[in-house]
Amino acid sequence: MERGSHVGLDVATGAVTHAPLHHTSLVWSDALASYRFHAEHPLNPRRLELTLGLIGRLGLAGDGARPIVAPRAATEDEVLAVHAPEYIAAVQRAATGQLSAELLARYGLGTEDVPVVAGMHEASLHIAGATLTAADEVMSGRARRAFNPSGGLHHARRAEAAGFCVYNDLAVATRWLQRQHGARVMILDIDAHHGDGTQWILYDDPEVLKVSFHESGAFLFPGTGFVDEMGSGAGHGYTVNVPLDAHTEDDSFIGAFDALVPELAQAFRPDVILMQCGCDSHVLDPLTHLRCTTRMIEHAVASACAVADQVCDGRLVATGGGGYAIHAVVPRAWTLVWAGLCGVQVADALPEDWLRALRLESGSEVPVLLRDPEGAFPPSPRRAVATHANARTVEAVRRQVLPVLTGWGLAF
Amino acid sequence: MLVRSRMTADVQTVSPETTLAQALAVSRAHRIRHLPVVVGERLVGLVTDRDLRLAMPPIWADHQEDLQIALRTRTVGELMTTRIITASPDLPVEEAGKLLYENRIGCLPILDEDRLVGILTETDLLRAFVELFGTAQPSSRIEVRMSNKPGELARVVRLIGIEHRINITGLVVPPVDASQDSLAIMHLQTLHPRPIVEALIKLGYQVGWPSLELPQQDTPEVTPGVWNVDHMSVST
Repeated sequence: MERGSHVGLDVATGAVTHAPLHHTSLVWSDALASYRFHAEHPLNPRRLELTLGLIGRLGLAGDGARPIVAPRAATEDEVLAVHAPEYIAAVQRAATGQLSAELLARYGLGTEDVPVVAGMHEASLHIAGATLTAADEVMSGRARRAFNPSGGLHHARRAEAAGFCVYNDLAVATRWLQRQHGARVMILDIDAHHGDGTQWILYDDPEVLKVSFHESGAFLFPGTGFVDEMGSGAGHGYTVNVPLDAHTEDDSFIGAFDALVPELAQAFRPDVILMQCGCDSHVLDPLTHLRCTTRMIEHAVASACAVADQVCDGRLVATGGGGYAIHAVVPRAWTLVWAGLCGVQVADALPEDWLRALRLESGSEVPVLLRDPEGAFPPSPRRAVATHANARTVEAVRRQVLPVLTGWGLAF
Repeated sequence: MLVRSRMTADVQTVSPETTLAQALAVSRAHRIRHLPVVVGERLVGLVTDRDLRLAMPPIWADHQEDLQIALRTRTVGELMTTRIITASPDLPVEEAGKLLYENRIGCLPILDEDRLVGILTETDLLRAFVELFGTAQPSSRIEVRMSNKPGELARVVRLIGIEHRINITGLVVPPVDASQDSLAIMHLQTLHPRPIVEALIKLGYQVGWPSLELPQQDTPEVTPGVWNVDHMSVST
């Protein structure tokens, strides 16, 4: 394998495909908006439509260098690599009202977070398929990076729906990358909630490095993701959790990210990075206590791209994830993710007509710039505490987890 | 929650004839601090790793060899505590906890009549304490302060469980303080507790998510002033 050149690679066969590789693929079709629970549910696909709308309005996709690629649906076999057959059967039967209350409860279905809706099995296969399409774009060499904003359903477990997630597209894509390409995968999750489903599904696998930055489980759902959750069996040391204090802001988040991600990637040497870009760490997000701005997510994506360039020929597959300030934050944050993946500069001013429509739809004032300006939000009441706590957390990760991964000494 | 569901039933024991060196080996191999001493199934004493370590020579001692020989020849029977506080498997865990801290001891051998059937340690109780809060399931933590009078807790629980149809995976109500208010610490099986928080506040309760002792996240207003495009250096 020749590192440093932008070529597609089949890790299993060693076959190299030559193709122009400055593409970035955006995976989208309207079918992805069918992953929809009900009008009041926070995971509203409107946030995806608004994102695609803004990307389109700014002229950032839809041409040869930045194509919009239609996804395929995942097959049941591909999902079976991750989820229990009885769970998949339950999801199908639940939608037709054939599942008992007891079984619904066992599989985490029919709750306020994951209500049963018609077509949920098919819609979930579409989301998983879209992340597979993004992965295929990158591994085939057609694109250097790809983005599936509808993906990132990281709370789904092997046999249990949770936290708005039915099938775990990140885990499905990881298994596909392993089987089709023999790839070592680094999962990088910056959603404000811990990526617990992904962690538990892949917990004992040393071929997947799972890294999650999130608001500490002491303060936020799902209540897990502490530093000492490091993996089990052969996978010990291949789960890296960075639980951040409530009210963490950009500088502290970025400091933790930069202190760990490049070193983790250098130590693990992945063939591809799978990045969950949930944007619910934003101060305007109603579901978390983090206080970041668009600066953090823009930095994290740029930094991850630079790391991918260094360790895996740039191969990076990004997904969306959480993000519940659907007018004020999500379209801007994920447009910045997309621009970062494409490596293009975008001006801060947003089109007046787009803003007018957004304001009308949201019924309130909306940010008029793509990036949050300095000083747009009041400082965190816990800045000093959070900054210190996060620095200690980074130290704990360096002391406890990194040595296992790098093979330096024993982690006692 | 009774002692029987929280104790360790597979107890590592020693006999009065066990040498101190052997007892130390058992304690280290199983990473346990308390060894009940039995004759058959009958409890006759207790030896702790503290007892054993006090019997060990300091590393700088002269005549190390004599002391090493002593470790291999002296027995648990010479060292063990024979006045032991024990408990029944049917004791509620909170009563067992009281026995531990009031007597300043680290474990309770659990006896069914005279037979040793288990051991309950501080660690077992700490674990029970942690699990009591309901953190084993993916959940969101909230705190609700309410008047300490009949029906208040029921109203809160009703709103969460019946009106909002959210499962409560943990509910701890610590005893009231001088303020006469009572506090409920809850774990709710949802990623999205905000509608519940807002509904409870509307009913007049003080609610903290995750805690009343932390500043609450009030989503800031988007004020047009600071978003003035003129203030920005627009990159192209």
